[in-house]
Amino acid sequence: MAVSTVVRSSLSTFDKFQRTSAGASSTPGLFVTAGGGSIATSSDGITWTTRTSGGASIGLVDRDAISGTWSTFTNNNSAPGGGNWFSTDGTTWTQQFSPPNQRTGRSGYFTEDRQFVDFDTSNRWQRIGNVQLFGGASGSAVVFDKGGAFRNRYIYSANFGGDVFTSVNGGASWLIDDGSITNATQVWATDTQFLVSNSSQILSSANGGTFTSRATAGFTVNGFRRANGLIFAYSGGASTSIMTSPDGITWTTRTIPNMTVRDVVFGAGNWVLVGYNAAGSAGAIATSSDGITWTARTITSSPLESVLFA
Amino acid sequence: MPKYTYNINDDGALWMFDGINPEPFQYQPTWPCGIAWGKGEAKAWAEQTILFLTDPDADMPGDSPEAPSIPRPMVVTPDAIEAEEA
Repeated sequence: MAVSTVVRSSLSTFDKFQRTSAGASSTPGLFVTAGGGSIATSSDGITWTTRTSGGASIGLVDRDAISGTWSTFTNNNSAPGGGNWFSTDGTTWTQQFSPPNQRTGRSGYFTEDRQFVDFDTSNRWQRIGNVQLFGGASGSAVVFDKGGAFRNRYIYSANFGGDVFTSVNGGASWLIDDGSITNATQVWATDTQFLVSNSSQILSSANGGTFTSRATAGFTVNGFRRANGLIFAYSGGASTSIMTSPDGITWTTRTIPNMTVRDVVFGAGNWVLVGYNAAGSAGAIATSSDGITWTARTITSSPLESVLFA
Repeated sequence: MPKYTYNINDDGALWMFDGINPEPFQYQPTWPCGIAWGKGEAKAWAEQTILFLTDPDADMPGDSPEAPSIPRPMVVTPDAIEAEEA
């Protein structure tokens, strides 16, 4: 497939929905993790305090950049509003029963980097935040990296993973991949590279059109994350391996405790992996001070979906 | 298998250890909902936590005195789906 440029006619004027992990400082230096009905907090990522255990559908953790309010909510608009919990200090949490995605009042989905994707009436993705997607996406993943020198970089897969669309100008124009990707299982963007996993293969692209194979993982890659200068690639199921990279180009396999990784964060001198235990019956957590050697930690929780440090 | 232990001080604050890491994995000064608890409630919560961590069928330790234990949520992992389809 030739690289092509698609010029959009206009930018959406939809209201901005900005979410960030860097919040106000009413409770600085706090980890909050959540998933499946549990919320737990920690100051060091090692010793955790259970905050609540009863809410259904708790998924993503967020902290409002302006008010500093913590929140957890479901990332799926089909679930009831039981996942919406709020806290001003991370200690006392209040559940608010309300329509799903109450913060937007819109039908949609929260991506793994906590951007809101609007659905159209056919449940196809229409927008990431306030940016219109090209062509009505129906793919498997979408991310947006608003940090660093290259702002407004977007990447998403469509047509059931067969095509990858990228934009370096906030969605004003899009590139389609060069045809080397047939089964995109996850996408990501760093300051300098677009990343795509093609099953277990990890590819990168500086321009968003031509992708180069960089590594093959021992697992199907279903997640990318970046924390404190380290990029993580991990499986969608239980695994004793992850891959890490400083730049998206050079990748190294690292051994971790057997777990399903769902999210990664850095804080208080430690990288923290959260997810499910091997059986998927409880939360699992691992920490590392160097990104190389990982230590299994115990946590009293249901399977965890996300973690945030702010 | 980790050997879980716990300490409870006079105020009811609970620290739990997994016998592998020197740091406590759990610090629980009150019920998770924030209601103060006594040493007996803290002990019962710790015992339920150990049960939860060692028995995959056990309930989770609860959120409040009204709900001292709650059913364990389960997730369906990709591995489990593949195993079922195989």
